[in-house]
Amino acid sequence: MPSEASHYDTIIIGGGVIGLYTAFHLSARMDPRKVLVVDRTFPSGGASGRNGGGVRQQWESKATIRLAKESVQTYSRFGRDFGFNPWFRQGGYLFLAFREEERKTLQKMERGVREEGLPIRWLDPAAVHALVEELEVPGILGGTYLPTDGVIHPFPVIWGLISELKRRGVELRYRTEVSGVETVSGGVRGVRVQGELLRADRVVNAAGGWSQQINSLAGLPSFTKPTLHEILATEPVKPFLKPMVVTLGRGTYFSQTMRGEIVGGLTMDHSRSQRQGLYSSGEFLVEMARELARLMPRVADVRILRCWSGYYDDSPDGLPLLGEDPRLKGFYQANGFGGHGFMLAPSSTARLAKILLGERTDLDPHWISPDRFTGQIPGRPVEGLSLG
Amino acid sequence: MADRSRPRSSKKDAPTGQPTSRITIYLNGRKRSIPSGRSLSSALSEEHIPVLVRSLKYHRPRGQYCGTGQCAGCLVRHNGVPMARACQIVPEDGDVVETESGWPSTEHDLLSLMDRVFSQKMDTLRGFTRPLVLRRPYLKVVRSFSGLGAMPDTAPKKSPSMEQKTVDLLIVGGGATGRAAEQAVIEGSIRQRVHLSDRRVAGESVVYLGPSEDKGFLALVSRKGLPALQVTSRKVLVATGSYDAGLFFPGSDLPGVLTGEGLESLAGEQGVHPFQSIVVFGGGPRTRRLVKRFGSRVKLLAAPTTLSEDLRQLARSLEIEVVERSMILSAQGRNRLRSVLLQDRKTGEQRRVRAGALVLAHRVLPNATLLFQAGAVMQWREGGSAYFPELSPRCETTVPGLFAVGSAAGFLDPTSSLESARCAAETLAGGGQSGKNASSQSSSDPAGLLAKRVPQEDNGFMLEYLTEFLRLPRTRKTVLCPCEDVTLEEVEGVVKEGWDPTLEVVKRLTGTGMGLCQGRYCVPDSILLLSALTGRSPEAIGFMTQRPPVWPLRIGDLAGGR
Repeated sequence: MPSEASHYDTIIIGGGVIGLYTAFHLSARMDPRKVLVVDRTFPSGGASGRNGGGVRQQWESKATIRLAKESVQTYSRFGRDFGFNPWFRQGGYLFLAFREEERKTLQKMERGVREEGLPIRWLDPAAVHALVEELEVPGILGGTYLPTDGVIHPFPVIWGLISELKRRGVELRYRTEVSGVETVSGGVRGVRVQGELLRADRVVNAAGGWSQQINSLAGLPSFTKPTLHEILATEPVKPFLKPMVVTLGRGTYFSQTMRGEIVGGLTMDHSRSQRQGLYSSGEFLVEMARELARLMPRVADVRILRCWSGYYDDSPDGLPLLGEDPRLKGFYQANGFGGHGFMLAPSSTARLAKILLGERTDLDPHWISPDRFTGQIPGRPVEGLSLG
Repeated sequence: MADRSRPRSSKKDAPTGQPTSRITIYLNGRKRSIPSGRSLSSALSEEHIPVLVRSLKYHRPRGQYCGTGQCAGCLVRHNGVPMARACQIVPEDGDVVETESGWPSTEHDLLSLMDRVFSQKMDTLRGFTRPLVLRRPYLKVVRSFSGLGAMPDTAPKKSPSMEQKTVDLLIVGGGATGRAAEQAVIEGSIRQRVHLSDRRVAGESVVYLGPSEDKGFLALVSRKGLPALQVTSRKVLVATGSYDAGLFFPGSDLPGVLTGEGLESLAGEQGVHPFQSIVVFGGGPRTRRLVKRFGSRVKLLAAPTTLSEDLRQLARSLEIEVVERSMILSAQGRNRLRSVLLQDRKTGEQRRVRAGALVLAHRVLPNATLLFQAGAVMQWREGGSAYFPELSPRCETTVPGLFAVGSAAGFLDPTSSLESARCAAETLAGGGQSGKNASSQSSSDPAGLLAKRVPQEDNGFMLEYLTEFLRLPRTRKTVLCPCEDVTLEEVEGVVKEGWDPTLEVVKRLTGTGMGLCQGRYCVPDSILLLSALTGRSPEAIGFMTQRPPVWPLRIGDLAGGR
């Protein structure tokens, strides 16, 4: 790159699905060479390569439902559009209720989702069993099922986006750690990587589980915080499980990949752990094995092949932060997806690109804007189904 | 897998005297009488072994390969339990065994046409994307081919709860080195509670090792026929030994191509195996052991480099032909190995050898997965062409309280291996300087132990060997990762397209190393392959996170009780 090119219009920190999709939308509307994506590790090294691939439209808030609905449409065309096959299989999502209040929560959610025109249905216990015969667990009160939800293979999405961005001429720098966010009189001036100052008018913090570190480089406290979540995969079994199954209690979820593995996780409290960085715990292996065997006793004879972990970037209200940070001009937040960045990426980053270009979006700015946490904006909606 | 290149005389190596007792099993619904007391794959190998497994993508025939329960070569449904490893099962009278891949049968599989239709590759990364209207049919068809075995029809009986145990020292590995360490610790300090996990005899495998909530380590131990065991231990000594590496060449995934351990497991204690003529590939101590044991059927000893004088003499005394500086170009056969094509690395001269088995014994690799998992700093050592733990002169890794000895730590010959065990045991029993861990590589090493860590059997030739191999023309696709049917050509393609040629990225692009064996048999060579293709050092190619469990772990073994 020539030296004058190191003045970028927008530098996106984070080369995961959020950063890449933001660059994708942005580079369609401006000179792609003015966009830079920089990432600390290799592609798919963060949550974008560590998630369970779930893409669902069952949410409590209207805006999330709409974003998710659009993402489902985008992902179902992804193979054709990008030439990489993410094997997006729409086997639906099945949310199970075991207790009365869970049933109420789900039925309320069901009404909201149906109002958005989605074919969600309530399944009674017999219908649940007909859908997944292996769920031989007592006490199911029923569940919601939306057949157009699905499971995607995350890696090809990342490869497809990278290929397309390279073709357009967007610069991508992986294995490049950002060591500073440079500011001047309340505005952002650029970022520092490996001692070099890269100037930019706008900087986007799409660093997911590392977004706090980027914020602190800019001298800003964060509203979100990373939490460690673990997943396991079994040996590949022949296809038997159509939907992704989710329980509300512990946020347990599991589905079957196109290769046949049962992939799933549950939420564990790692807050008291002394361990640093990403790790797999023996406790998780035991807990998840118990949960799988409780819900599907037949699975006891199947073997666990591997487990891994990644960060959710949790926001206080279960909704992402999208937009300019009121504390620093030109500094944009695109994080806090709480483990749902992959499923919301295509549509939410389309809005972020508009915001970056100074345009209005169809989203209520109070809903996603980072300034909702500075106390200026009252009455924010809360997404209660930001689990598993 | 039976070799029909010579008249059969399977009684030749059978133990004389006692008649073998026999049991009846049902294989794919048909009664079959097999000898008792041997592994299923071994018992079936007495006569013509049917193909037990077809590969995931191309439906290529697969057979016993690793003999340790890691690879995807001998998966069967055993009494309704899918994906059981035939090499690890000792069948009982009346057992029901079914093969689960292929149509109409695993042996005669029409779907093996896939291998011809997709003669270059089946591109699941970029293919099947157009036209858009075919998206759902593609998904349906491709999904119907997925999976290695079907879910069980019924739930098993609930196992008892997982047991828990607290000890002072956990020793992983019950080979000579692990046993020596155990004895030395017990003699050195009678108050220590020691638990030794032994895979071969007791069927115990430590599948997970990490820090425990309070001080020390937490280990999950899977046990044959029992619920898992949870061990909390102040200190851990890893003596997991080494294993025979794989190698890729066209046909390397054919039944009949197997590792030294694969042959030893097939032959069992009785030493019975179906191969009339064997080609052994290798030149080190492993090769020596195999030649000694199976000498009467070894037809040819092909060494990738030169042989030691004593191995040459041993071969001569057994009338085994020897070829040195030899490269395996390919293995031929339809459903089982028939012949091996070799090339002289100096002259380029080629020769075809008829053989029923090609035994890979060219390279041993450390069983170091647990050390990676527990967070020990690992170093690439060119001599071993593998990662070994950074060690203190007392064999402590960079994780305080975690010790590594024997070939898992790079002490490949038996003498230095035992020496390392004694040295670590001294510290563990409280005799030596304890707690001095870590980066003290440079600190004094009175025993001179660490200097003995450069493997005696130099594996350094592999990079050169593979570089040479890659230069030769290939006409057939070469399966690099047999578990996932990833080809060498796919990996070459990834490098040509300019992707980041590190193992972590290549794994996520191609699936290399993501299969059942967790990369044990494809990753070590993939590192060298990527190094040869790019000119980068193997260290720059990196490694991939070693994900727990070390061995696939039955869900019911953890979940019992509730």
